[in-house]
Amino acid sequence: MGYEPVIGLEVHVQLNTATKIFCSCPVKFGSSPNTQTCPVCLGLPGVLPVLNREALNKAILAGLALNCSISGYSKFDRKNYFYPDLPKNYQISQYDKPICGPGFIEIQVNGENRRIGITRLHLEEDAGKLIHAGNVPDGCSYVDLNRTGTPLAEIVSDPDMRSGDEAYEYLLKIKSIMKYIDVSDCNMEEGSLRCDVNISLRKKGTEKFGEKVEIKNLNSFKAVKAAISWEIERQSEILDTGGKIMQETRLWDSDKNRTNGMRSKEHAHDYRYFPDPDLVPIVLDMAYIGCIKNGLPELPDAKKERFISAYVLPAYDAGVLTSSRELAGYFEETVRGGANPKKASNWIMGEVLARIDDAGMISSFPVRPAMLSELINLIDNNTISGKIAKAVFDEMAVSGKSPGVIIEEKGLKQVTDSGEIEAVIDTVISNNEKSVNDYRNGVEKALKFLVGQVMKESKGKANPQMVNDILIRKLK
Amino acid sequence: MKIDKDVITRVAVLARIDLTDDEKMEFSEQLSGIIGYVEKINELDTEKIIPSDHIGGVKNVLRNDTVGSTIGEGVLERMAPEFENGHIVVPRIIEGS
Amino acid sequence: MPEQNILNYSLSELSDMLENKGISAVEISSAYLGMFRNHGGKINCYITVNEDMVIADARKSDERRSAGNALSRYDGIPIAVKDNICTQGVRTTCASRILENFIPPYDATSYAKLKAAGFILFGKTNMDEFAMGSSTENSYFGVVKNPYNTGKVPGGSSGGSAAAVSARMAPAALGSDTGGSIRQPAAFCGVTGIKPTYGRVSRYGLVAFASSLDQIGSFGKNVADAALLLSAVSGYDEKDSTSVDREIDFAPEHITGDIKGMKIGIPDEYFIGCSGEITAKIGEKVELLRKGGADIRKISLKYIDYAVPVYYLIATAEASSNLARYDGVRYGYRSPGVSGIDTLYNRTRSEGFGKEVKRRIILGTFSLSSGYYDAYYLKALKGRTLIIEDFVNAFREVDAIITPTTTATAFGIGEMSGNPLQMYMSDILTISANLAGIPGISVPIGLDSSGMPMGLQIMGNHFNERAILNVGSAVEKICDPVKPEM
Repeated sequence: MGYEPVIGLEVHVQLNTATKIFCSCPVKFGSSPNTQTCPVCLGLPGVLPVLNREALNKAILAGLALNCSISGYSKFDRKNYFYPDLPKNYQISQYDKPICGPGFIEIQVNGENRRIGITRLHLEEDAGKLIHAGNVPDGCSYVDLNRTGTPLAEIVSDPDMRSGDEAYEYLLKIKSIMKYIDVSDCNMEEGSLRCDVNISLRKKGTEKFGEKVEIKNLNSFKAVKAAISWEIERQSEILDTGGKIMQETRLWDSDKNRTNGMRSKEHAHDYRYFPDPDLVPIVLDMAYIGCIKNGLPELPDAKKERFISAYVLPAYDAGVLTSSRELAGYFEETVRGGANPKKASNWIMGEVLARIDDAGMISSFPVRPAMLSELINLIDNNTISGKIAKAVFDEMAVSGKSPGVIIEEKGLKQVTDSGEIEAVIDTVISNNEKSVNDYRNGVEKALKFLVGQVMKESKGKANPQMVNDILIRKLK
Repeated sequence: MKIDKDVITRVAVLARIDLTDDEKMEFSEQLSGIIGYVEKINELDTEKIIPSDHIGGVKNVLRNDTVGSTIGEGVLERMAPEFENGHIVVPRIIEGS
Repeated sequence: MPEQNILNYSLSELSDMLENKGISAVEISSAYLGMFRNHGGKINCYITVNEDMVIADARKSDERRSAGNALSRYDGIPIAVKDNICTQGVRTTCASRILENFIPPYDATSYAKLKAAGFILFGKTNMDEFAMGSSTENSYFGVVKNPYNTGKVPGGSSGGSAAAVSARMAPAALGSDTGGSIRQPAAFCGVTGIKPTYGRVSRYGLVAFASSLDQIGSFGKNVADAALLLSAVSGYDEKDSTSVDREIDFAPEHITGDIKGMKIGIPDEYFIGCSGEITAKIGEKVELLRKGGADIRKISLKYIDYAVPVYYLIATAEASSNLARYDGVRYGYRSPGVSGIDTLYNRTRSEGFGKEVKRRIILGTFSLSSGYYDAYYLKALKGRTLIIEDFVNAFREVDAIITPTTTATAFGIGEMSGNPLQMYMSDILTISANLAGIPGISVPIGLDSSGMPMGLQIMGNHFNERAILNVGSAVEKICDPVKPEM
């Protein structure tokens, strides 16, 4: 097929402030319905919004992390539409003067770097929730307004993506950055990150965009990828058969793995945006923005580059280790404890990540960086063998005890006393006459067997190199 | 411009107000008169004029991110026309319609 | 003490007597309740008066004062409050069916300030529904009558507050002014009414009509009372982003009526189409002010003809959005027995709103809608800039501006109800102050030949309430007091 998909994403990120964007209600997930509300977020008559400083600062920080320009002048507007989850029947958002202007992020797809433009980032208030299932009586829906007024940063990308994989990587990167700068939990299950897709097809080699379709109701990154694939196929088929794509909003059905068109309504989209007279403009100077910029931590891309050069790690390792700020911190602390960087990387990417679901949860993993570096050092100085180290790590991951304690308790310390090893070797030699003779007659394999027997006899504690050396000497 | 019945009908849908045919006729006539009058503003040369989207010159009014009190127990229930199991009740919403 | 006297005392006189124990709070409230019982039904200036609560509050105030714990020297003075200002536990209807039984769980900041000073809530006054109107004929709770002539309107939208003060059914009252809703009824009812600078009084808890124009203000029997009540509700409020932190320098002791050397501008444009009697009366008073040492100058405010168009586009656009929340979902009226959310919205709003409110919502929705925004709403915002600049220039030259408050005295009930445009035009002299966000006051200057009160308007620069109150006080001194025959 000769079509090129043109994809842009609208990502809504809930900012992790203590209170809502325009009132002092707490922002908490999972509270009893309608308890996290007040006259302001309920839209009672006569109440007024006042902007949360922290929401503004986090939006600016997010914008800086996405390489956006920060607006010297921005304002809030009302987006007017009726829906029962929207108490005022208008949403306070930003229309023509968003807090952050154009920016970009870099992603890697199939080993290739791609720069994806960010059109804008703006602040707005979240809506409440409608409940239709469970113990809701027939013919009714329930309204829960706890979420109403949660601060959202809406990040709009340029139509720069060309595949589901790119969209997927873009989302991963957005999530990683937002978590790095601690502005959002970015938990798609809890709804703290939501994503809508805009997609159109055009003939390869042409410039003009095709008719755009918006996909909503995407509940995971995988769904985003799947919906894009489905939609590319659907639109290609229509175009191939000479049909026309209708500009519409479609909903992703995660059970049937397909998109469905919404019942479109006449005049449904006339939001009548206008400046909200209850809120005053935000006018920022360089000093204010600079102050927030100072709080910007090292971001994933920069950290990855540094890991490659400072720790001489392969790009792959550096990418995995910097995928979360917490994981990267864990790695660096391990190295600071004296561990060899590559060995630390191997342990983290192998044993550590195998045991946790989410790299962001590393802080609650029982094996602390100091313990891991101790373990790696113990291998390096021949206190234990690599094999025993794995067993020690298993124990550490369960009990949280330090490797020294475990080795002490279980008597796992490697034997490096040559007298002790020689005694074991003497026993093995006298019990395995055939193998000894075989070796002396040039059967090299026999040596391996004898080493194995010595290791077995020493319960794995004998230093393998010493066993090898002493055996060869004695068998001469 | 004349605000005909069709315009009134379309705007009433946006404003979520049911109007009878008589009301539409009445509003059409009255609003045409009012709009005809307010079009006087077209006489103003506003080419280089900045719109007054905010007055008073106040800017950057910000609130500290400190949790305050939430609505008292039972208050919403007493206010709401229909309330059940901690929720406001509305007629069934078909999502996506 | 004869009841009639109590009703004529100013707020400071009442305060002095309370402090000297010459009178009790219960006596004051009882006197006003007596007037309310005798004339409240006829004038219809109140939507809610809870007599038991008023007396109970007055009794508590008396107890506080005798224990030496008076909240302020005004503790115990009853105040009427317009029914679009939220009062916790007391229903706040906006004179609309849609909020007929709405009881706010919070106080408006302005009312909370009064409460903290010990003022007593006497009642909630009738008004045009959602403050949309100039006659107080658009109320779900019935038309308010002018105390001077019950066949005439009291003006609007704060007609109930103006009529209550005029008819001695409250010593003073709070109102709100979006396009003249305090000054015009003050003029029609022969009382003083002041709208302060935008941002001077918190709007928190004032049910919004047009957010960029709404301001709470006060009514008094005289200039000093209006000043006193306004200073009691003024001040910065962190709950209102548009509120401004400025010194309150217009308490009655600052209002001397001294206008020597003050530059006062008279714009010719504001006298076009004005009744001869009003023009003549104002001319007479201005001449007296000149003799009193004021520097009277002719000025020009050339954009007055655009004020009504600009105002009605902006006010209705904001209103269409502000009133969207009345949908029958969370509070207020819900049309019974409907299935389907669209029907619920449409029926609730059609049954809950009166005709003028619907008309303005439709107009405002139209001017914001796709394809018309630039030509109407945005153009109006630019027009507003020109009007603001007009005043900025004027106040480079003068300290205050004198105009009539209205072009005519109160009109008859029903006289304009079929012609909304004509009704809108009746705000022409007061609207500009709201568009520019400047303070304005209306002071009674006597009765016309038909016995109806006439008002003189003074406008001042931003946050210069002190200047217009001083001019108002000077005007008051050269006018005979007016009072309706009840």
